[in-house]
Amino acid sequence: MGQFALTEAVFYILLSLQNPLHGYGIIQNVETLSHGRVKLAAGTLYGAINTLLDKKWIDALPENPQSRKKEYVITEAGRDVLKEELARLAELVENGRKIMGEEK
Amino acid sequence: MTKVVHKMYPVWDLDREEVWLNNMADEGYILSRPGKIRYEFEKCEPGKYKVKVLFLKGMRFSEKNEEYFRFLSEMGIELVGCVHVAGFCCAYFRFESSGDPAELEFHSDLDSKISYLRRIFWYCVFATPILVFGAMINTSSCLRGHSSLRFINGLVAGWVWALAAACLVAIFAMGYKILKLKKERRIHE
Repeated sequence: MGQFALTEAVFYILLSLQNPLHGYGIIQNVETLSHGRVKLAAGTLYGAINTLLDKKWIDALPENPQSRKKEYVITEAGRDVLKEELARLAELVENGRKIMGEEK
Repeated sequence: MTKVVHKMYPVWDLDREEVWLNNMADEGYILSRPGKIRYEFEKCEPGKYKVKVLFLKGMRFSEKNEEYFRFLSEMGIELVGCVHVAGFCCAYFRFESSGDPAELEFHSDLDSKISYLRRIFWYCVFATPILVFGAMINTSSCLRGHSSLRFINGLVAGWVWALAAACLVAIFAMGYKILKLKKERRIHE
């Protein structure tokens, strides 16, 4: 698991699902988090959600009869993956900064 | 009030079909019922809606597609209808335009773009020999058949040959596009 990088979409979806969200909520949250840079398209999000469900990195919550929208939330396994990825990204940033000689 | 237009777009021309349907929406006619050659439109506020066409595996009521349509409907993307083509379906959606130029992009990463294009690519690869076979049968009927039918066979043969040629061109165009995206995928996501 560890040596593979997560895609940007997966990283941001996992990050968004610290609290339960439905599909459109994820798109909006990712856009806000990335200051409008990452706009997940519906097809990409759908594919990613299904893969994450298969991997059990996220869970679909029992349906709420009031909203009729399916909500998803991160699992423990998903959180572990996210932590590993964060460490990997930190290493990239640290090395990048060290070598490029840039501070923040 | 509905407006009916007869037109035909082969599978490899879905992009052009989508452009046409969106031009119609911009002129105040939103798709209300798609068909293989017959399209029905309803009057709408010009530019209020956008139309998206997707080429999907399986039939309209397959569990997988139903699930996908439900997911999209939660986002305000409404399924207008499906047209089945040899085990696949062309699904037509409409949604209110947000004015974002990227709103018609249903795939925002290279991997899903590639796998979507591949689906159409392989469809065309299988369709070409079938079209060529159909064209050959019509050509031979035209050359050997009864004089009254020769003209019709000739016309059909010419049309199917043209379709087969267009399909072949589309295969190369799409193959090139997929290769380009794959090359890009080696360094970008």
